[in-house]
Amino acid sequence: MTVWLTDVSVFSTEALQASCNGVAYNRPFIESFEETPMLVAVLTYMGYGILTIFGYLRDFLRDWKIEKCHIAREREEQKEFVPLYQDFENFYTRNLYMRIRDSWNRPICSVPGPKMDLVERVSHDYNWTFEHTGKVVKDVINLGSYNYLGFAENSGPCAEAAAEVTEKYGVGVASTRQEMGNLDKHEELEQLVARFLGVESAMVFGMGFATNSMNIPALTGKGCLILSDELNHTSLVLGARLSGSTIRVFKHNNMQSLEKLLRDAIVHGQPRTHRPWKKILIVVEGIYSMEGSIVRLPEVIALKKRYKAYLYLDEAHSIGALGPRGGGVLDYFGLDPRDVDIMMGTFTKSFGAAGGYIGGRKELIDYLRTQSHSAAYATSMSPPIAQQIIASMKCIMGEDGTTIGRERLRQLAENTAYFRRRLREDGFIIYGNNDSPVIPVMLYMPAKIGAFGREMLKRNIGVVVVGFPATPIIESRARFCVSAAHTREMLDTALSVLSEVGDLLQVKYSQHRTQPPMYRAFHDTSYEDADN
Amino acid sequence: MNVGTAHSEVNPNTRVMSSRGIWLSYVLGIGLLHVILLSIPFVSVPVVWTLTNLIHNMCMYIFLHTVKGTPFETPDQGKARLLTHWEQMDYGVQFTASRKFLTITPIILLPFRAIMNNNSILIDGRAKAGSQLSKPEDSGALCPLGADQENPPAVRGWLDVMARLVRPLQYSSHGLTRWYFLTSFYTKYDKVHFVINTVSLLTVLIPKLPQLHGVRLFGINRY
Repeated sequence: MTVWLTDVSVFSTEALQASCNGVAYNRPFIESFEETPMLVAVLTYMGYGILTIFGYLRDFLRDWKIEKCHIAREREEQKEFVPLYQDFENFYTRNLYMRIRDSWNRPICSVPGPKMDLVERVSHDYNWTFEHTGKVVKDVINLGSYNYLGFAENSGPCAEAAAEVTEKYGVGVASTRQEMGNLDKHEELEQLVARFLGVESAMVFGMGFATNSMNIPALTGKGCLILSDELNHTSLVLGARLSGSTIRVFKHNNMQSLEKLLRDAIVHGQPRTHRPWKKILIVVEGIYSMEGSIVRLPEVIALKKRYKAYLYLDEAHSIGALGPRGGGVLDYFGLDPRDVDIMMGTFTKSFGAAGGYIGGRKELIDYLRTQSHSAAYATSMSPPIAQQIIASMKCIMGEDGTTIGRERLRQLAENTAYFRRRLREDGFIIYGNNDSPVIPVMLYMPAKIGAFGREMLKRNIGVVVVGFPATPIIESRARFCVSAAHTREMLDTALSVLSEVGDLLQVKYSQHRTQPPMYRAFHDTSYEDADN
Repeated sequence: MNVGTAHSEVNPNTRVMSSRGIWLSYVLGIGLLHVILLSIPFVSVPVVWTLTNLIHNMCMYIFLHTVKGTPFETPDQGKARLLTHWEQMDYGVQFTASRKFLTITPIILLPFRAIMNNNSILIDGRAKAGSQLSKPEDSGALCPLGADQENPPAVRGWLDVMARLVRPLQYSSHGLTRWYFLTSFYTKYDKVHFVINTVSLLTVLIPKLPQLHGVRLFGINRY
């Protein structure tokens, strides 16, 4: 049974300068999204079918009072009214989600570093209610937190700096940015962020989600067109919807789809009047957190320049995590920050803080300072958090006089490459780019989602699992986030446990276990591994 | 449920029937049902085929044309709450691949069942001379969709194929008849089967017509 490598896009080193779409990549861009094996897809549907049938059965039992009903119901006298608790819309939650609910919302009672402590919970009524036993599960290896550079720590220079600032400024700001909440810490931080990104000016906000959802409405409005990637984050989707612009979705990371949409938009104009669009804004992310893929930024920038559209780049997961200097996806591809009109990012992931920023030209940022909802109505960033970001950003840039930042960046790249290589060798199906620290491992079947989460916790490893409808119906996954703070021993422990659980649950679905043949010298035995 | 989702798809239900492997799973599911019914003792093969047809059509009617809304919350502010799964498929775009597939499957099941029933009855050896019909177009009984069919070439093509498959059998039993639907009026037993199956097929095919998108007859299933 020969197997073809499906959906692997590889640019070999020789073909680099020869390019893709006339655009040169300065490094190999290797992404793979292996297709679901057909047998696994059929079994997944069977799994969902069985769960649905049992869900109907349980609903029937609850209706006839044979089984105790834990969910909210209307009172007897209100049964004829318009339903308040939409029964069918709750079907998935009460029949599927509730059964495996213990894999989510686990309370953490330590700093979410490479190892963390979890509160031990137990449920006596099948996850409807949880009780804390009073014990704490200690030293669980944390493979789920967005801690790419390991700045989520409660000791060290960043934490001490933040503590000092707490003593000086307190914790709350008690005002919005435009009123009394504009501290000198914010000004200092904004200048530092602008310098870090290489843009003229930057503005910071207290919440990363709110940065997207409150600023896109300030940038586009009715009569504008937003071209958004299929798998954009909810904050971008919400911001686009709130703005009132027309939204068109292009296939994930697919430049042909984007170009077709751009051409159609420019040629046909607005839907009925055919007037030209006021603005076309392309919204993409640096690293997509559920797929682990990196945006094809050189091609997007080439398209944007050719068709004169604007580009909004959300670097929530990529800032600090990609690139030799931690400058994000622009640094990774070696591109000019002036090509991207609006650079947005968050401080939650690589800086161990909270909040978001937008960087760009001075006129844009001055406009946002007055027009953004977040600036006018939302509380500004808390001073210890601002100090944490200042300290960690200086550390990454090397301005604090140590080489800690460079070390961490190097460690993250090394950990990413190692983890991905080992997982692929073990036979798991992994999505995403070879350089991205977000690693989704496919599980596919609904029961395995719950089983995987629980088995990993039994062996002291905390993971994040995701299922339908958060992902497409046959693509449930466990998502790992590698951190620079993970030592080689931790990764090795995690990998051996993963291999054990993978064998137990039979999630090692990959049908090509070796490196793509392009990377190996050809000899007679090189195709033997490809046949199972 | 854009809350907690990793994509911007408003209603994931619309994409389920075009996902990878679902058509195969569907066909395998029908096969499984048939095998389960075949394993019931004391039930003859034509009855099993009719039962498969009936149960499949009933389940299809319930899950595609009766159950409304989505089993999870969607951010479309309730637009899909009053729509059945058939109406939600592909956001209401007609004649997509999945819709064609789901329309053709019960139709194929009917001639299969008809052939199988006829085969088993022919084996029993009941021969009767039947009258010859003038034209196939007059035979409204076996074209359940009537004049304006949504897939006239496909449906008629399949019927032709089935008829041609059965023709040798017809000629072997009696030379005069030409169309296989006649054989189903052979004996009273088979006539009953055929009527039941066609009625069941109609209940599944009529709601799929694009003219009946969003239509609720007599207020049944409106809210």
